[in-house]
Amino acid sequence: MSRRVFDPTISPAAPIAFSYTSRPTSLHGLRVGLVENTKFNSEVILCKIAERLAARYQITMTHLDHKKSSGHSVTPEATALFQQKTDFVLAGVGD
Amino acid sequence: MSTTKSDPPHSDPGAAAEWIEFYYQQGWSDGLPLVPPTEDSVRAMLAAGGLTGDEVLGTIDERNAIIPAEKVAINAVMAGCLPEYFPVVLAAVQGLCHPEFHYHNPATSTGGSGLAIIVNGPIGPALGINATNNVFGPGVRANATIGRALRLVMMNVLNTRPGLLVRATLGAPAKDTFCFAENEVDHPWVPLHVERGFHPEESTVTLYASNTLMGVYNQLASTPEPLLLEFADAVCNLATPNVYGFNETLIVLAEEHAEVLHRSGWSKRQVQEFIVQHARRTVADFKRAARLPGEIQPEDETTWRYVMRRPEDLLIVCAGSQGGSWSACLPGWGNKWTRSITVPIRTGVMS
Repeated sequence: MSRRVFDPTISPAAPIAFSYTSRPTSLHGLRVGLVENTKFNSEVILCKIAERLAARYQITMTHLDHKKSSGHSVTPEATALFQQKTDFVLAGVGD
Repeated sequence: MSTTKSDPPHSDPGAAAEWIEFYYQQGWSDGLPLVPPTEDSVRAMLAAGGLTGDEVLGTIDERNAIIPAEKVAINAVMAGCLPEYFPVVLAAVQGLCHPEFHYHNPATSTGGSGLAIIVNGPIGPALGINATNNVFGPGVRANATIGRALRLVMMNVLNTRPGLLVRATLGAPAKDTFCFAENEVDHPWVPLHVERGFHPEESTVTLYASNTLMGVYNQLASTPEPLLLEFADAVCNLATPNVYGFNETLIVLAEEHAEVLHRSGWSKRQVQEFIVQHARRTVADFKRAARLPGEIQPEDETTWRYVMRRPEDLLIVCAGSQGGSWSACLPGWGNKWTRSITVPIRTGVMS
């Protein structure tokens, strides 16, 4: 009599390889990018945060990306722009 | 002494019950008992799809996930599918993986959409998929288990589990299982798959992310306009998410309402155009209900927002019983972020 267990799940896929950029020693004068997820107030809140960062650390908001929807990934084109134009990125998540 | 329609198996039902409990303990269930798979049942399921088990049926890039054929077969067995249902399950899985369906959005959203599997073509009657009386209700194995198989694949293969990736505020009964066939016999027009370019003898699955199911009741309308105005009102009610301009909508016409339209000589396209033109609200309506921000301006009272952009955004399917003045409106989860996908069912591979 077979006692084989048929597992209906899959093992997690190998994570996509990535590396962290080195952490800045100071926030002063850095460039920030924003990822807006299309939800109501997402852009408002992110821009408000950027304003406060500008006031406190002289951080400049250099790129704002509008995702196609909250569930879409950031496009490779937008990622390339962030790499080129920013030192760090803030993203809004959720509703 | 009870009577049964066939002789009971010789094996002890207690053994099956132990396996069912075992599967519960692994966290693989949707809450209902799972059918314990065996070598034979998994092999038969794969054979019905012309598969060996090693194939990758698709990928969901946002989830960095692949869908192996063997896992889909195991989940289909667990759901209670007969092998001959498997080609329908496979087509539904293909729909999940279509980039324009955009799985991650409807599968995980707070909106809690149920994924409707609409079956067209000869395979519906051949498998006994219900298209008539109590079409959205219980009691038919094919409807219940095909829909359940897709949900189990989502939970077990794509890890789309409540509280983890599923962030639905309320969820929906349609998340358990939601499969039905179009009634192509008592049908005034071409069915959905033919409208979408398939041959009538082809069988298809249309996968549609539905936000909810709203009954549309009208016993008095004897001409198209009043009936369709009621449908338009159901489509554009203020509680519907994404009501201001992005939605895809499904209307399921039962026979009495379909007969009113057919008798009047209206084409499917005319019906679609009428509803699309009338499913609209003013900007002022939206602002009064705080569905749009801002103060109401005078021009808002005459500025219209339409729920759908094109007649093709309105899917019309005939199903339900002959009697009763009911049809149904199922607003879509959102046309901007996902759209319904029609996939041919690969049949004739039973071995």
